[in-house]
Amino acid sequence: MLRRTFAGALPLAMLGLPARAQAKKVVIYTANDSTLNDLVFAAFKAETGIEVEPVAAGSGVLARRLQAEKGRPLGDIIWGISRSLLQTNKALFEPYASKNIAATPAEYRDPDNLWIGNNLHLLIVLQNTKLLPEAEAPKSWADLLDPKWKGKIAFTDPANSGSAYSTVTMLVDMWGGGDAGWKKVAGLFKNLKVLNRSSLVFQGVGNGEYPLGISLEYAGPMWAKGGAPVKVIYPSDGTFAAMEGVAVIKGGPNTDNAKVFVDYINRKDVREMILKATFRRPTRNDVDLTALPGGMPPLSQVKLVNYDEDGWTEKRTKTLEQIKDVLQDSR
Amino acid sequence: MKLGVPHNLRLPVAIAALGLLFLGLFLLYPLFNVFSASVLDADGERLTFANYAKILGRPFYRAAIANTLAIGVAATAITTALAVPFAFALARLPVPGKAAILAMAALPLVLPSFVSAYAIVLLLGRSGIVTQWLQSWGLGFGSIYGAGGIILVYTLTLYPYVLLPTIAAFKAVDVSMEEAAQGLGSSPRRTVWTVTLPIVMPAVLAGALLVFIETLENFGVPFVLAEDMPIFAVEAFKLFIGETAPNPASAGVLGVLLILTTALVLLVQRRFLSARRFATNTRQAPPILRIGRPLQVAATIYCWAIVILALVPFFAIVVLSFMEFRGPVLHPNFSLANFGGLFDRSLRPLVNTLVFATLAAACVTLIGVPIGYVVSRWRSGVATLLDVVATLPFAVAGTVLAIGFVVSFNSGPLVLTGGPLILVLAYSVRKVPFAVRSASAIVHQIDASLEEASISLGRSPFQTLMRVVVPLMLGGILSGVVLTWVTVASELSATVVLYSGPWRPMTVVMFQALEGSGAGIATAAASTLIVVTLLPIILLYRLVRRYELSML
Amino acid sequence: MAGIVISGVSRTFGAVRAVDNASLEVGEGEFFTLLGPSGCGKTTLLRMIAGFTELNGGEIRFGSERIDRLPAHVRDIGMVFQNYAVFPNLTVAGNVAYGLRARKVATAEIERRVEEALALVQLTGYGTRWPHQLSGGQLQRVAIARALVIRPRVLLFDEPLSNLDARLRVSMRTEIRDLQKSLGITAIYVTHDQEEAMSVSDRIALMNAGRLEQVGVPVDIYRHPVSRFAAEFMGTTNLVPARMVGRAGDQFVSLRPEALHLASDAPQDWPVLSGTLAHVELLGPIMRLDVKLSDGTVLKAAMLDAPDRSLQAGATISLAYDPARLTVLP
Repeated sequence: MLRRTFAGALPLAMLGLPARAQAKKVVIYTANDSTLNDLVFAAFKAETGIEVEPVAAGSGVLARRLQAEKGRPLGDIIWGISRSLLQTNKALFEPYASKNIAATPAEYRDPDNLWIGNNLHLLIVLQNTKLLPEAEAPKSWADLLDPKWKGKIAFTDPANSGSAYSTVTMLVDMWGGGDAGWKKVAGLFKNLKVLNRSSLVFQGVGNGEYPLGISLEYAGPMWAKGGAPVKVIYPSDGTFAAMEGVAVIKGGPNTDNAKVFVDYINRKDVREMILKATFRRPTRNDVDLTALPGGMPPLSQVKLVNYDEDGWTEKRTKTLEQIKDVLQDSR
Repeated sequence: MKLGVPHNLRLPVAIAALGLLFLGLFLLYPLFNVFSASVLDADGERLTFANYAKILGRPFYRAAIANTLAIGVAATAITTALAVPFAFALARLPVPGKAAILAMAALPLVLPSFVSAYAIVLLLGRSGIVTQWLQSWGLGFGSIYGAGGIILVYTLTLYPYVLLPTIAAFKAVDVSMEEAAQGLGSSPRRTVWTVTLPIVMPAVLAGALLVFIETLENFGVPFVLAEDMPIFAVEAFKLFIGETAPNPASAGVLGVLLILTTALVLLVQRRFLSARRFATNTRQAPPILRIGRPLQVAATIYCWAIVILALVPFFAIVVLSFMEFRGPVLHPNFSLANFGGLFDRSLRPLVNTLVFATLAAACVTLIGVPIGYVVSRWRSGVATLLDVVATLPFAVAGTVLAIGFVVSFNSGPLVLTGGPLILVLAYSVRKVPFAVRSASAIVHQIDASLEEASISLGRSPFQTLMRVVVPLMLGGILSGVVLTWVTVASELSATVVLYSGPWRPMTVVMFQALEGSGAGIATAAASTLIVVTLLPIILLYRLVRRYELSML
Repeated sequence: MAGIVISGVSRTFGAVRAVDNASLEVGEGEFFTLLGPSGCGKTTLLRMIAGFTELNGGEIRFGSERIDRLPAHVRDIGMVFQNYAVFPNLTVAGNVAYGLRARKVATAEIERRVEEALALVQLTGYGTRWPHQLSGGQLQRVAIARALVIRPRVLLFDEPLSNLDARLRVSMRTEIRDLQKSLGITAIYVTHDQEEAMSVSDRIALMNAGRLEQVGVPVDIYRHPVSRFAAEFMGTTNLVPARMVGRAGDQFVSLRPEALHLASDAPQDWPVLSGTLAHVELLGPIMRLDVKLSDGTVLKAAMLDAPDRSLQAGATISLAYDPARLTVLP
């Protein structure tokens, strides 16, 4: 009897859960960095009056949290996570047909509207032009196999980075697939410094710790804008555009406000504002990159390769073990 | 006899029961929820050890275990070797500026390790400021990356764990023991080796144990400095919340192995201590030894050198916070823009940090000190169990505990997610070992007959604990409070999983800014945290000093 | 104040029977000593009376009140510890007042009684001192004052003098005995020092391996030990086979050194034993001799010094003994 009373009283007494239902707010789980978060949330509030309570963390942490809270979701939105994480967590999302569907190519949204893509990360090579003159830079993924780059290329552990995982598997396919592809990838690993977090790669190249780094496109203009000697190499043998997107969490406390945010974040003017400040390439097909800063080439000018993202996502556990072995053998 | 417990065991039994209840609910239960995956097959139905065989069969993880243990042992040995003479100098030698040294010694712990590591790379990395300056003089040095760099950072940040309890222990040594030894013809130097050191050994070991376990658990430092050397805690972190493939089964295996290692080390320490029970009857803080001028100068240089060296990342952060950052890029010009950027935002994170740290420190003291008392006074299976359980949190990576908390307290009878209490509880569980180990080390030095005297004079065991034991432990308790407070203020790994909405503390601000392109904001936040935590530390040390004066 | 009745008390630690079925009665106001070598169980028995060690069996009463199940802090005991156990964080007066405060005695009354207690132990004026400013002897006086001031039902002393130097030990033991007698509080005193025990005690319980070996007034135990252990532990003695002194049986007899005299000084009818003088030493008033008999047995003899006596090691010597002072041991 006593236990029941105790158990019943606890959530009320101890939680300190914000109980102000009248305040307009939305809880956003975001894997984006704080610069992007601060920019968007402030502008969103200014326009809509909806206060954002952000929970910012790596996308792995957020996904784990989402799954752990399945029974009682505390967030309304998950934002800035990869297509494959969006796919694997589909069951936790609420379908919503964004007002921006028309301007977003079908490949960048879910057919059932469970999620929608916001921006694309091209897998590229960053170069520190102070440590490495432009003329000596590699032009392609294949160039990176040259033993002279041993220890000079920073990379992120694919176990902790979706884009790094995509890079490795894309290269396996590009280099012949199967054993042949893995053999060449193993050769590449001999040259890599495999760091633990993707931010270490662009900090490392930007601050001059490494002359080269396998990273994401936005980091190049971002550091260049700050004055760092950083340049993006778009590999001539092709690359893949990794998508990041947003989804409404099913059963969250402020679902209506969440939908307002989904519409907001993909609007044309908002995407342009984001690109100007943080160089995120939008999924929308109606933004003119040449008229915007950053010098990012339109997607049509970048050689893209076919990449079976869903296929590799399915085989992920096994593939990651294989990558661990390749990594260990290359040491 | 209503409890069926002998009357002179009622107090320890009650404390042990409450302690085990707390730790059972907020440590073992969440851990069980996380780790059960490691002993289940893929369908989560049958019990299996296949996951263990799989992990231990892979050279990658074996290398991770070997690297971690080697680094841990080396860092612990070096830290202890540096900190014990340091503690002796502060407790017994005429070294000027002791209060300042003591206050500064706790500072490295204020800085979250990922911030220290960031600063160290900026200073000593391949293009670091110091590196380039040295290179301009033709002085190269090996890479800061790898085992050497990690050990260096551990040594410089973790030495307070050994220093603080050891100072307290040196001060609690009964001078009459030393006098007795010298009366027997022992030289002062020999007395230190043969009498004083063995007496303070429990405290030294307690501190060294904390260092060792912290090196096992810490991932902020190897995360940045290991480059591609596999490290246990980092791999566990990735397996738990890796962006690409969270693998709870394998992660659980690593977590369990980490905990087993810690439990083993603890049991060895406990065995060692039980064979050597020293009790001294302190009636006087030991006098400052008279030493020659050269020795005094050497001791002074030694103490100040360690303190200042350890604070280098610290100074670096403060200096960086006043420099210009354009986006993530550092430019060597003076600027206040970082602080502008920081304070344009809410001050709420700072308030959160202060409130959480204070609540957690109070909670840890209330829970940990009685447990520390029981584990060193009461030799029994239950006390051993309590000791091991109360030290386990140290072996549990913050991330792992936090995930356990979310899984365990998001629904059901006890719902904590979404509020601030879950953070305070997680901090309390994580830091309980501090209080337990520093308290038990001090209790080892308090003669049990003092308590018996009090009881025979009519004070109940509980009143005796409060009126006799606690006042005698005060120095140790306060240094435990400082350690807890400071390390809670810099905790990240559990915080990042558990914080929500308005309850974001400073470390999260720093982490997010550093991960993004706001290194300037991160350094400003770190500087602010430094200043704000410095004040209570200084206040506390003044208190300790006043207390010690009153004992003279 | 009350007598103490201990009936059938036992305690084991693991496989060791520390106290084995001990029964004792200590009279009201009696000064009673538990004596024995270390590990004999005397301290365990004392701690059971104090309440710091549980009983496995038996019971303990103060007068008619059974106390062995009471928590230690309500047993109303004054205890003095070997290492003083003076609270280092309290002044002398604070230490002495500690038990009175626990009993919620009024402040004025506390002050008066602390003064009185300090006067009893000759520490008048020391109230404001800190423990570290005192010598070992003074600390023990503080501890005694602290135990006395609460007017306990019984006083327990756990080897209170063994940390003091020899001279102080002798004067303090007399002082403790006088205090106890003047206050009339029943006291149990633990020591391993036979001489100390004989000096202060009304009665002694000699303990060995957890058992009570012999209980009695000091003189009786000394003169009529009931066992070889009692004979040997209570002072020095010669244990010789009964045959050697012309008695039948396989038993041993105890012959105290002072019962042996030089044959020349002894009455004619005392039996004589002859041997070689192996060693001789003069310890102030007492002269000690070791005499080696023809069968190799060494006898210890002691006598008062006499000015005309001259003895050399190696000389042949005859000793006579008082047959009334032979004790046959089982």
